[in-house]
Amino acid sequence: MDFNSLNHWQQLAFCTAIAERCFPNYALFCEIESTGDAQQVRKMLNKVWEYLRGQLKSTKNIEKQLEAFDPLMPDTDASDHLGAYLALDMTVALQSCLQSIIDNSILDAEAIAEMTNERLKEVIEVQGDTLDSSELWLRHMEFESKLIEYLKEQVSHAELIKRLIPFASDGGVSQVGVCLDED
Amino acid sequence: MRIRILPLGKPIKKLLSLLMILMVTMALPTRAQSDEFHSDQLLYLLQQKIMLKQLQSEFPSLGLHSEHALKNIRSQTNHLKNLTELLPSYVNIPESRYPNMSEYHLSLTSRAELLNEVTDIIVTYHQQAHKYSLQ
Repeated sequence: MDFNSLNHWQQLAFCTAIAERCFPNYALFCEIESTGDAQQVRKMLNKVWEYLRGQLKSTKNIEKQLEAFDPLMPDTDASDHLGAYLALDMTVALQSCLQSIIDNSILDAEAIAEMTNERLKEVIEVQGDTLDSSELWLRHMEFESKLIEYLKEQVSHAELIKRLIPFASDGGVSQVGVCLDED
Repeated sequence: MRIRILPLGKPIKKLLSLLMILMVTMALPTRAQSDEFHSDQLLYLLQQKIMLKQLQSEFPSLGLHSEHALKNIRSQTNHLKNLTELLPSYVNIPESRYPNMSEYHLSLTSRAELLNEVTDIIVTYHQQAHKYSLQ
């Protein structure tokens, strides 16, 4: 995948879509470990979407969000299991998005994509499956290439984000298949 | 909000049941120190890099004589130390770890970009530390 052809906004949108897709993993971690704050992280993610739509008037709020970020991150010393790492991946992707709004020299799409792919490979490996036969892997590869297609569409930012949010949340199912149901 | 697993077809259902069990029960006590997980190495590198970028963007707004500036430079030093300690094992991931040459090539590009970024971070660190030491 050629990430160099994506501009800063597109790279940020890519990372935000990945964070959105990984959000159920974080919510599940919070539920299981009774730690973190899924609602707060959800709000932060919404702020990034707001910025991408061009609706955020000031980045002051983003700076505040970043300052409050550390306690929300899973502590892998306390919870050293796969679920914690899946949740931490999500928060690092989101942290990169927030930081990238303030500092437009940050272009993390490739690193975030690689991190997410490597994590999924690890999950598949632990399950004793192979990439070729893994439904999760095929589903994720399809998601990534479709995401890049979306980002290259010649439409307004607001219109693109309108389409991207439901696509990225993918019915509330994460890349490893964790799903959130709204009651 | 209710969380469920297994939203997809049957083949995934079995895998996800396993995943759920893993997520809840599988403790890997030495995982954080292990070189085995490429994803973890990348995760830690990204974390350190984000923290450094954050500290470096904050530095110009801090008074040069202030305690905050000193704290900022000290934090940068610690994160930079963590980053450079992690870098060799990330850069050393062998070709055999990848399923094909195309993925290996993509990974090399990604590693080169990360090294470029780390170089920029080190340059900025030295500039800011030098500025502070001159005061």
